[in-house]
Amino acid sequence: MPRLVEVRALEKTFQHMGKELQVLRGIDLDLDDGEIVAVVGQSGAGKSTFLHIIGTLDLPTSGTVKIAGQDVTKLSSAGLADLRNHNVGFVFQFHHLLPEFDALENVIMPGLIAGKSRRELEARGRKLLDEVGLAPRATHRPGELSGGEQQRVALARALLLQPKLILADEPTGNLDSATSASIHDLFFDINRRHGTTVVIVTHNVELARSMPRVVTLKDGRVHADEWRASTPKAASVEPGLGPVEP
Amino acid sequence: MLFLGIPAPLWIAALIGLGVLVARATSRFSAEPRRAGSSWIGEHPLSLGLALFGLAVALASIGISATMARIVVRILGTAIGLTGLGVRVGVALRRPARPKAEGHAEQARAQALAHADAWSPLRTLGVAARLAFGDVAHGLLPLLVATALMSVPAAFAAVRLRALLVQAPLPPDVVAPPFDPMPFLALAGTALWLRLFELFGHAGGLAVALKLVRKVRPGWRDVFSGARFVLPFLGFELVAALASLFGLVALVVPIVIIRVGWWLALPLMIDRNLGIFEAIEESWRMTRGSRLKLFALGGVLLLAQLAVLGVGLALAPLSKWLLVVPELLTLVIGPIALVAVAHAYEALRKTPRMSESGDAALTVGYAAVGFVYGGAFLMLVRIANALPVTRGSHVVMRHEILRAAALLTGVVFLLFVLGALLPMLLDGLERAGFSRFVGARHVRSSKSGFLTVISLLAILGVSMSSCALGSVISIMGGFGADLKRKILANNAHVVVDSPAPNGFAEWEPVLERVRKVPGVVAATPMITGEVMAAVDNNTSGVLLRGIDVDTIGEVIDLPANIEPGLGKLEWLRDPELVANLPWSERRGVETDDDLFHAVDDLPPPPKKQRASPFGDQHEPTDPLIEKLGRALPPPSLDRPVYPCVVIGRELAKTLHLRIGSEVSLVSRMGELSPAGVVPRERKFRVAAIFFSGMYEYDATHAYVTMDAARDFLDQPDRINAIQVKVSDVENADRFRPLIANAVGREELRTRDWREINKNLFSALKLERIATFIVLSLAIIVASFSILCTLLLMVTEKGAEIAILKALGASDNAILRVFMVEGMIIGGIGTIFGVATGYAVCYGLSWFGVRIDPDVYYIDRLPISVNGWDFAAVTLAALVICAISTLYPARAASKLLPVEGLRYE
Repeated sequence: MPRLVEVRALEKTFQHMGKELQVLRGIDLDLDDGEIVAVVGQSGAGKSTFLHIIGTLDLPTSGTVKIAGQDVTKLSSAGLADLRNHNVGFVFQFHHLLPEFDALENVIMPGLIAGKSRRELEARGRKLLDEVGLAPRATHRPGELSGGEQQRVALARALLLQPKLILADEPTGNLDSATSASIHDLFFDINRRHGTTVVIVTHNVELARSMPRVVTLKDGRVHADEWRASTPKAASVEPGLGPVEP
Repeated sequence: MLFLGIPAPLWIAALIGLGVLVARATSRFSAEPRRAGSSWIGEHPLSLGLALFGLAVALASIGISATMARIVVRILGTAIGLTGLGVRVGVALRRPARPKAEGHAEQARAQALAHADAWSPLRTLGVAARLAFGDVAHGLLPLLVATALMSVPAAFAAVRLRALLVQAPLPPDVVAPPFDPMPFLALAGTALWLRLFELFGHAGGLAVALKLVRKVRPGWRDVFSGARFVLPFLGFELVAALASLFGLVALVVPIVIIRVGWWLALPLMIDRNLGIFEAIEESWRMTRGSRLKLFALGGVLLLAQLAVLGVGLALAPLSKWLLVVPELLTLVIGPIALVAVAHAYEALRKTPRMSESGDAALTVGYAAVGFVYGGAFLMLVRIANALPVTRGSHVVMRHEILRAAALLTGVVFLLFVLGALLPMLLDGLERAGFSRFVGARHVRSSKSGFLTVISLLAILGVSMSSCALGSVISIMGGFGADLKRKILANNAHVVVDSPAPNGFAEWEPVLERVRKVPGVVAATPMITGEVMAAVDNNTSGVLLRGIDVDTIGEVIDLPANIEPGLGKLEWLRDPELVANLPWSERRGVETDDDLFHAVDDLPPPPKKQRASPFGDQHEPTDPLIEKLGRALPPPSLDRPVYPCVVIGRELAKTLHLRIGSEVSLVSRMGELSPAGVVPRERKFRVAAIFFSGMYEYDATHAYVTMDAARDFLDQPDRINAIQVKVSDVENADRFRPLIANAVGREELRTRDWREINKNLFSALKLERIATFIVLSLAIIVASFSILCTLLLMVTEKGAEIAILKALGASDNAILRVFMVEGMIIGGIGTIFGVATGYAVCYGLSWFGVRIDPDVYYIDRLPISVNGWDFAAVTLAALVICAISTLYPARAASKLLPVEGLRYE
């Protein structure tokens, strides 16, 4: 059975003022359905770049990335867009919501892009907002929501089309610890309830420690890939070894 | 009951429909999410109250005797009533049916709480009364002092005015002294000075009231603390008065809105020490969303003051001491008014508005102004239709102004209606798929949407250029149509002639055959020749046409074109009659020049004589005599009889000819004379003068009988052309082959009018196309601003585009989003421009723009309003706008998501 995400020899190089900057220097990684993973590392280690590439927002310079068995480098731009629409949900640190639309409209946006009917989308959107605890704020604009509430809306939006994969790039970087904790809980909740694979790039040590799997990037390579025993999803006890096949 | 030809129920339905539209437009221009609590106007009985009020006003108009006033009041009342009704119905229709699920219980509770805190005008008045009269020493007395100060100028004016106006009856034989304005002016001047007291009192009163509302005990110092606010208050009053002047343009309603919106400026100046303009801005901001309630509050207070005024007016003539009564009433109302304003101010200050909410008051105001303009338009059209139509250079300015006003109000009303439809259009787009939804929403955003200065300028540019294009094409079309009409009136539809000179013989059978062709209405023979007309030393080239007087009128409009009073076509056959016409018939084309040139047997006029030695014979209906100032000698009898000629107006002007005048025609046909070959010259008399409307014809065509032409041109048995009229002028070319067949002679050619005037019409067509292209350049230039507006939007929305792409929007979808935005802006401009152009041209073609007929040969600007022309303009404009959106939209679609997501 193909893994959800398969990354082999991923390299990414940027051009900066005539010089080449190699951010990712060969990454091999696999992600399964239902996993929840933290990606940590120093600033500049390539975490966001890695996330963008997995999410098909960017293409690798070399190497392969397969999502649900499809090689993303072989897809057209429209094909990638379609893949993203149905299979990937994003939660960013800034600029996540569309300011001219209210919370409900933001949540149903992926569905509108996919061309689904307003009615069923609105029903589903309300349900999702309820799940993240924002049902009474459906008609509020992002400007009227706090940072934590905005992130929750973003999360609800990411879930709209039931993607297999949710990618979060420092989702709580701007928030205080109490709000961050509730957002983290939400991620876990979603992972448990919907079985969605969640990848969170984070600086937050607490969060990283609570995750069953932590991937550490350093200098554009996977420095460490650890599973923890304390969470139900833990499949192996020792760090450094791959997961035991179910 | 019919109004402008349309039954009343239909009008009512239309007006209610408009009201519903207005209510739907309470989704406002910046689409705010609909919150249950914000539809105050729908849930509150005020809208129903408006409806009833309007109905009452309309009914009350029955009591007004002056027709105009009655109509105005009735229209206003009906408009207000239907607005209220429509708004009520519309909001009721619009309320979305939300399922009451559990998660919404919280929301409902919160809304209920919000409602309880919301202030209402009636409650405010009650609270104000309680606060004002509650604390006598520290509340009521200071307020009374303030109110007394405020009413000083009014009281003083009342007393003085009463003294001036109420006079003891004069004894019957004493003449009443003439009206002397000085005392009134002096009174006005003093009242102005006393205003300073009023402002002082006002400021003090507001300070006291504010403290009362905040539950702080006011002191006596507060009453007199207003000194430093006197001048700023005065400044504010001036600004408000100026703004009201501007508001008069839209007939009162904006004045009301401005006054209500600026009502809190005075408390703001006292409370937060703001300057005049800062206070105005802040008051405007604070009152958003509550203006209708404030209007209600202010309305009640105003009614109270009017009532007091009424009492004063009623009591004043009786005794001067009774003026105390209204003063006492003012002292009761004044404190309440002050505290009410302070209370409203406090309430609004404490509920900061979280976001840009829409404003029901503005919407209602918009609708009201629109209705007023609509009503004015209907009234003016009715009046304008009844005005008499004048021709020539006789223009009655008053009538023209009325017509222009009708046109103007109609166009403004049209713009109002289009503006009201705009939110509906955007709503419709938002309900559609992804691209249109996002595009329409972007256009509504207040930061970079279509209400910003930049996109308004873009819209203005496109609408002005498309309006100009449409209008110019219409005017050119009008000139072309006018030309065509004149050509067809003065020329045959089909002409049978010979390309060889000297015409053709044996024409009678041909004529008979042609007359029998189905579709031929009439045919007439014609002899033509180029000759010269000479009078004394003036000469002019003339196209002489020998006609059959009986049948010529069936083919061309010559008999109809004979100017009234300037002879008759039949006189061509009666040279004796023409030779012996009385003075009254011997008129010419009346210009001052004509009168003083030598006209056949009239002696040269002396300079400016007045007295009239001969006064009695042949008395003048001749305006010539009035102008000359003397009588003319009786016309000499036994004037030589010459054959007659009918000439055009311009020829008559050039050669100074009048009916009955002699003119020599000179033909190039030579005559043998002892001196050799000399040109043939014959004298003719003018039998009639015609006006065809085409300069060329009026200057060169001259008609004589066939016999006269035969004789003069020496063409006894030949004619030059057969002129034919057919039943279907537009398709005359279809009849041409039939007629050619009937003619049956190889050497003759048969041409229809289009072919004969081919050059002219091709030139006109080319001109129109060239103008269209050139003015399209204007639209292209206007579309540049759309391009720039879009580029601005794209640049601003880089992050948004990245997010949308991250959510899975394809490049094409983003392209479509921005194309939709550009098309909306371009579309708004195009529709507004084309609609305005169409309305203006239609109105002008109905009422007519007067131009100087002596210069332009027509007395009205010819405009031909053709729907297809405007459709072409619309299409061109839309295509140009679509093209201008391509570049920015493409740029947007090519943005890389990662670039948009980079952190600044």
